[in-house]
Amino acid sequence: MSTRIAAIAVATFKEALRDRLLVLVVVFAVAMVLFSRVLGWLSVEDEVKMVHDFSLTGMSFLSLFLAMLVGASSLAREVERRTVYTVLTRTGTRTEFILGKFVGLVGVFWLCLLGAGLVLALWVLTWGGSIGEALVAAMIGLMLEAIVLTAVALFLGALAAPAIASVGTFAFYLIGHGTEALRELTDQGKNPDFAAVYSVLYRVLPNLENVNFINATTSGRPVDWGALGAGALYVLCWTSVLLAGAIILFRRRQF
Amino acid sequence: MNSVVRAHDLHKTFRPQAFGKPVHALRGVSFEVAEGECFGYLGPNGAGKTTTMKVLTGLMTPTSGTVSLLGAPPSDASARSRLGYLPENPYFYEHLTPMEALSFYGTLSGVSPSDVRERAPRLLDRVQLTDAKDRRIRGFSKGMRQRFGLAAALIHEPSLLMLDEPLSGLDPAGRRLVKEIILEEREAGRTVFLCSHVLADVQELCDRVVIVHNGQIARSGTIHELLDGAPRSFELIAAGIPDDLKDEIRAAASLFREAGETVTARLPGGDSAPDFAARVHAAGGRVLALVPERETLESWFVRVIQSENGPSDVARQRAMAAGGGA
Amino acid sequence: MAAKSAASTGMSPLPMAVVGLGIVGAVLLQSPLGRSNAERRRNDFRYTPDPDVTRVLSFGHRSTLADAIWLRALPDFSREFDDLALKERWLNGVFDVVTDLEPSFYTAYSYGSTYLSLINRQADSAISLLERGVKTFEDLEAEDGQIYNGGTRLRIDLAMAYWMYKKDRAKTLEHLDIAVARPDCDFLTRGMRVGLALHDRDDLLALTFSAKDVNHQNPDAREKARLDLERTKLRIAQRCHREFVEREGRPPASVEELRAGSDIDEGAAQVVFPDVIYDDEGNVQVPALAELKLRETVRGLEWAAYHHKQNFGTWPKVEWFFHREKDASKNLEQNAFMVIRPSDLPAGTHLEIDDDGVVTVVDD
Repeated sequence: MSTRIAAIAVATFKEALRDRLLVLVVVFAVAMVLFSRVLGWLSVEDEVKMVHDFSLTGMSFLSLFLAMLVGASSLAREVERRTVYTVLTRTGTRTEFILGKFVGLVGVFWLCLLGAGLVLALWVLTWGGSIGEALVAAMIGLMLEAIVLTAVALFLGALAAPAIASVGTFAFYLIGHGTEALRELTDQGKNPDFAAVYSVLYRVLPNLENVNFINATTSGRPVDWGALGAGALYVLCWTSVLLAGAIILFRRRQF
Repeated sequence: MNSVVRAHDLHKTFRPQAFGKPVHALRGVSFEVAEGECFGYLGPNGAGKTTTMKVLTGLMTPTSGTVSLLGAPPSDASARSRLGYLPENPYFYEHLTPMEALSFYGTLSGVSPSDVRERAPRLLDRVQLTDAKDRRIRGFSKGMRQRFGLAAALIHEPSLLMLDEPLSGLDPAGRRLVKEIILEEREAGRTVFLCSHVLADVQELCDRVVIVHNGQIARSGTIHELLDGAPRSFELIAAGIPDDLKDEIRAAASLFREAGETVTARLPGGDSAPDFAARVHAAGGRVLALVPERETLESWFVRVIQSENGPSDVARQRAMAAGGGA
Repeated sequence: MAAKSAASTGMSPLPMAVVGLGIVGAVLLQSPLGRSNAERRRNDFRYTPDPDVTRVLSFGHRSTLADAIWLRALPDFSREFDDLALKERWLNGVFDVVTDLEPSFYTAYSYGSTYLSLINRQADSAISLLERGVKTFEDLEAEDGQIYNGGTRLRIDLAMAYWMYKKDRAKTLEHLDIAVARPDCDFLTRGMRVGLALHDRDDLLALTFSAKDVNHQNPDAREKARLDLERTKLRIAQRCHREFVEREGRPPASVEELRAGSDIDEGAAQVVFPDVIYDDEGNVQVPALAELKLRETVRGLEWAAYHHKQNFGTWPKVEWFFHREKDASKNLEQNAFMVIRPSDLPAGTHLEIDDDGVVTVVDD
């Protein structure tokens, strides 16, 4: 990684880390983790299951909110505040700028996720649960998801205004987590007329379920590490596409 | 002499709305900046100054025409590596401290960390921000940002400085400081491209000036070429003038004021004013003052714009010029 | 003057009064509104979405959505519905959606079936819910090649449901046998299966089930299995003794006579009778049992002592084991875990507890 990408990444990291919005989102995630115990009390049993489920879902939302609120507006903010003028008129290229932003944002988001994950781990231990490989797999899945969401947010941020990019990121998240339903619709042979359309859509649309290992934490089912590895490759494919798209758009951008 | 910046027949057309009327920001702008000179780029709002700056720095591509920056197109990173650019009203990463930001900009311009460590404190001292070096830029005043921006533009010791309104937002002491730095950099052999509304500053700092108006070059030349050497008018202040002579002066003056027996009159350039002064003296009156008024860049600027636009635009431009280009 | 100073601080009296009255009004209105809410909600139509739709709308967070629907439904379980058909439809909808979203949601099956059968008197719904759960876990186990405790527990629940609501002994035995064969089956269930086997005079089967874990890797499980096995032997021997007395009108003179005169499978007899004696009062006894029972009691006391240490930071005094109620005079905390009577100890012995929480029975 070039030193310039690293410099932009570090500056982005520091900027985002000192953003008050970030504090708000992280507080939300930690509150969700802690609050999950209250939901556990409400349930008849399954306290630790509820802690896992709600916390990890909360952390998935944490990634989403960070991408929507911090990621989608990060390019626009650079342009609006004209910091981009002082950066792009130096030796670095626009490609390096996008890559640096991406690395910096992913760094911050991962830090937030790991922080929330640590709170979750302590919380689970506090209430008599144990930290299994399923939780580790779920965390890795969440971190992979954060990578794609960041790339989406940057891509849409390079394409459109921040509000639209935010909404687009949200839509991507919903589609990404809804795609699996398409397969189920065709698998069960309920809609033979649309089966062909569904199967094409299923392959073309992004599928964040490939890295969603949250459901496995509470069922006690063994972790399919091979699937997680393949999911990581899948994430890499989508991230490359989105980042390349963001770079193409950003290179053509007139300031 | 080498040209550090060369713009040839630049055109830039925007289309603010998808199917709206196109806006021609630049219409065939050409100029060159020689190595080591301080070049002033002037123009009213909307003339295309900032567009030109953006095209020169590579933030924007021209619709047509060519730009060469230090011998290469602005898209060439090696050209930009020797460019120090200070945008108008600059903003920086708000949460960084000046030291962090200088190290950031230094790295982006390929300065080694050890050089950054050595130069940064010196630069901050030079722009008088040493006391604020550990504060976040977020809390900086406009003037402090402007001074920091200058430091950031200098961190990689560029051979070309492009400064967009470098004096705006500064208090008198800050203005003097920045002017001194610009002059020092020029003395050190750097080329300075200065874009400003503050005509007095341009007059003070620049060797050569280009005036851009409506996306075209309206005038260009050295300050001396542009300004006529002879006085444009005289101000005559005298007392005890006989009435008939007084009427004669009133008829010739573009401005006439009488307070008690003292008369103040603005008379056209040429010989008439000295003649009147001699006649007042001969008639036993007292000539208190005869002040020649030479054209300033400001009045010249207003005159040029007026000749381009007609008088209706002049009042606005004059107000703008007087306002210091904020 | 006062008005002026209020205005100068931005607190003019009228807006302040409006704020105050507004708050008071809202507070006063809440209780009548609450009553009418309750009345309205009483016959609310509880909408539970279609499982397919819910699965799509969960956007990947299925297990969490299952939790959320479950939590939302829990308070309503105890609500009164005027329309029982509606309640039934609603209940089945909730269990469908939740178990569809998360097929391995053990609680939904278990609690759901208990609720359906015990409270709502819908044994058939309960059994079909359990059947579905059992099938789900069976599929999961086939796929993953591992045992899920939920599968065992649901199997037991299903056996019990057939036993209690259907009086279907065959079905009960079918599921119980599968459950008892699983490694994570609990001792109570195994005890029930042993009891049924004994009732059927299937002594060998009863002994086999009891002895299942005598070689278990966990020493506590081994102990527990030994205890169960000896108990089963005693129960068989006691039954033989009872039948002998009924038939002959007198007790047998010896264990050999009892064995000879018993209608019992020869394999079972070989296991049971070598360990049986008659005590001085003519009662059938399995001597190993007393020792095993005492060891189990001591294990229970050590477990209670462990909780005492967790809760109060110290090991309990020996007296604490004998007190359930808080005894103010002796300043003892209540022992809610494991309480014994002095008569539970062999005569001439007492308890001691050391600094590691190890409890021993020592001679006086």
